[in-house]
Amino acid sequence: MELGTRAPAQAQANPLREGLRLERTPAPCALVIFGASGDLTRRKLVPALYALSVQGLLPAGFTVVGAARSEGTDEGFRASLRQAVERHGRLPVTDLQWASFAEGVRYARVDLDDPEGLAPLRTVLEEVDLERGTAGNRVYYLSIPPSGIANVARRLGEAGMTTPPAQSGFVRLIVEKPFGRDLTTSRALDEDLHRHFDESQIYRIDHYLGKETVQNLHGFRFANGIFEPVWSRQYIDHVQITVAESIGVEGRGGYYEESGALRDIVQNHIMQLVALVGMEAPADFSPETVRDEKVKLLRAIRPIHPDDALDTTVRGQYGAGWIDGEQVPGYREEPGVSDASLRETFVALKLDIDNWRWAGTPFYLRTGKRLPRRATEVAIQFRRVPHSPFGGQLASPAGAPVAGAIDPNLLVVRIQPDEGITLRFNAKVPGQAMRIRTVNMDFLYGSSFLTESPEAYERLLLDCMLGDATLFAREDEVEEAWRLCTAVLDGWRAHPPSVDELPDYEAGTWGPKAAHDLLARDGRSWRRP
Amino acid sequence: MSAAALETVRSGHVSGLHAVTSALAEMRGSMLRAGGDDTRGMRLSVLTLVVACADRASAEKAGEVVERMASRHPTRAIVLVGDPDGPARIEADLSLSCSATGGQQVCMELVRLEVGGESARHLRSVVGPLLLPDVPAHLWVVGAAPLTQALSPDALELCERIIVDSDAYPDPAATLAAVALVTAAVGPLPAIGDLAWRRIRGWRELAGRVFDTPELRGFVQGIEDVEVRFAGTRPSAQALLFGGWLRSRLDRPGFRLPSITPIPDGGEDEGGELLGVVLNASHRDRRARIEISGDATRRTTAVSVEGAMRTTSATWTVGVERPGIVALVGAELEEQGPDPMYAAALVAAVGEAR
Ligand SMILES: NC(=O)c1ccc[n+]([C@@H]2O[C@H](COP(=O)([O-])OP(=O)(O)OC[C@H]3O[C@@H](n4cnc5c(N)ncnc54)[C@H](OP(=O)(O)O)[C@@H]3O)[C@@H](O)[C@H]2O)c1
Repeated sequence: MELGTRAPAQAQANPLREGLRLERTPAPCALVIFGASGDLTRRKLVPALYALSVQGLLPAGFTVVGAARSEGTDEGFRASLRQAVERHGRLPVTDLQWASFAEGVRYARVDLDDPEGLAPLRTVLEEVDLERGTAGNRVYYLSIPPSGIANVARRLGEAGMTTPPAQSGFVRLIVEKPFGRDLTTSRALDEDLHRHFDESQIYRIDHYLGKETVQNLHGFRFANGIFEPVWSRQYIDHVQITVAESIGVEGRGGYYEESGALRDIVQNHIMQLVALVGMEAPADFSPETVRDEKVKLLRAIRPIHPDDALDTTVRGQYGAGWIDGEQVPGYREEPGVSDASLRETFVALKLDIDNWRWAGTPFYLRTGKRLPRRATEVAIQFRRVPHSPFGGQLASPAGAPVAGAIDPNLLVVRIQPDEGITLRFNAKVPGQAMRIRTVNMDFLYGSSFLTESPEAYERLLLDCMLGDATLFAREDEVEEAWRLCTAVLDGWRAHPPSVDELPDYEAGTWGPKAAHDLLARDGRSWRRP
Repeated sequence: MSAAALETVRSGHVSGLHAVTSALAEMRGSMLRAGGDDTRGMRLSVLTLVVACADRASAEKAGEVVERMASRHPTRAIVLVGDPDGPARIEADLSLSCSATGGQQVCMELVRLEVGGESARHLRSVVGPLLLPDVPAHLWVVGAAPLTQALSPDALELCERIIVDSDAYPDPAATLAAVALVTAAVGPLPAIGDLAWRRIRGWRELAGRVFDTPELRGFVQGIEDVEVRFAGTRPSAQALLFGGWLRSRLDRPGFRLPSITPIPDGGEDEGGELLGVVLNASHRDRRARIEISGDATRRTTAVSVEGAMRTTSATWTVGVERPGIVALVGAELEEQGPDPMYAAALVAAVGEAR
């Protein structure tokens, strides 16, 4: 059975597809990429489309139309895409397979400042409909900077290109992160989009949700009977979610100055992980049921009042240091970054979830750049045994690690880079005495059984073409996440750090001391991922 | 310890830290895929062992020791040689060895890592990303690496346990003093393990056992003087720690505090091994002399008790196996947290030596 995928079979079920890999293939359609010359197009989108094509997962007649503001030709565009796939793709490019993919690649110049500026695109699409049978089905992928999104949606609306062709046809819009900069701007963006698109047409992408390992969270929780009973405040002491990057801002200092770690990672990826870990079991895996449950969880998070932001959150910024045996500059020394920047490159926060399952069991979240290693992990720390018959201390009053203590059980879902699941338990050391030792049991899980798992974008692009929005963020999910993050941002803005308080952590360390203190106050400590 | 046949599943050489991390990830994959149907898909690990070596030759030897511990300690071992003054480089030989016994598969990942140039002054940034998550990291300082390095803030921050051999240094008394200083400063973690302390374990056991017998129990409160004979010319860490241990254990109300004399055998053997212990004790009107002596294979305990009326004596001999480096380090790896006996012995030994 495939979990988290297909909505219950809709309209025209095809009896010949039953039992095959996919229960449906998408209807023939054209995927229009706005921002076709951009980085994301080259690194992720086109390699993903090519991989889907090679695996035979795309419908016959599938066509990619690159829409860009500069002059270009179909041939030139195809050549640049081939280069991109050769460089960034996970599958080797063969002439035969490329030729069949390239047949369905077109280029259209658009002028987004001109109300008539989409005419050339419309012409190309009409040709494609005729030649390749795409029947007016469209997916518009907005791989452009956020500032341009509303405008493109408007132009599409004005040009009458947002209405689905017929009963069974579709027109969909994929929007990249960041979705707004705060609650107000994300709502405004929703309004702008809704003027021309129905919510059911909008697919807000969060590529974390396309990762096999993130979907495994569903599989792990809801396909195994033994974990769900202990998945609550009764047995879980707390949850830690870490998204650690060892890289810095990689030349995107200008972008980062505007966003920061909270907007870049917490609002989308981490909040999605929180929802997946904390949600109740959905009755089925249809998009609305799953997303309803996620939203319920997000709504149960205790709001952080801006005045309390400094008590329950920690922001930090890295200074120069050493990573992987190499010297790296501090954030303020990166190109495009002000030398007095107050922008956070690290966030830690504590969330309380006010519902029956989680009351009293906090979720601690952290993300940062220039941390010692790259790792995205969810760690479920179970409660300690109530009494140790083996002697030794059980708990530490000050939150410091306690020597000789019996470690509580820990379940770690590793999302990247080494996906899998680890259970830490205690076992007796062989020998006469009763001595206890910590053992990690490391499991392959789900996708790791496959030789190579699909890239997140493959899964998500395909789902969108199929009309399955389960793995995309719905308006209310985004809004709830922004509600929380905006309050934190407001609190931070009201109490800015002084220029010389930052940087407060050295590149290559696990963040500022304040992050340590945040957990130490509760008698806990961060794990080492 | 029965050593199940170890089979090398993978091995290879890579340059640069990124290559090391991806090679380790691949090894993890093959570890999970190796083995029979019942062991596939799972691996066990108990700790990361970082082995700090002064040079390539000692790294060679340490690597062999580590490999011999593989079946009992499913670990990731990083045998590290740093050369800050050499050319900038990070080179690694990696190997994955597994042994399967009775449906259980135990694997060890071994990384022999050479770090040259500036990076070798920032080893935390090199070693940190290689540590296994959520299990302890132990640092074994091989030979007489400078203690300032072995117990550097980086090492203290990264590791849960630091294993040194205080007898490997030319001045054991000063070494113990330095270790004591660090132990006092860092609190319970990381814990310090000392191979010299582990070597005298058998001697402590024999000395303790003497007073288990009801007729001799009373004498433990009246130990007056102690001679500790050891191989070498200046008090070895083992001799000092043995004396420190006695003093710390006997330093309690109603007990005598014995005088302790380390006696060098003057031989060339600089190992510092204990050769014999003589305890003189009194209880009421009786006096006892307890002598434990031994060599590499057996130890003899001779007890004679002199009373007003009669003198009794008894002798017993036990066969021993002087623990080799594999057993010593292996035992350290099974420890969690500090050993309060060691901490107390250390403080007393340092006080004594001053
Ligand atoms: N790159 C990543 O790894 C990544 C990861 C996650 C999310 N994203 C998001 O994905 C989107 C694209 O990222 P990217 O890195 O590819 O961006 P990019 O390279 O900065 O820009 C993409 C393309 O957008 C077009 N463009 C620029 N300004 C525009 C405007 N005002 N209106 C319409 N088109 C405009 C340009 O293409 P033409 O000049 O050819 O029209 C440009 O090449 C962004 O929203 C970004 O936040 C990117």
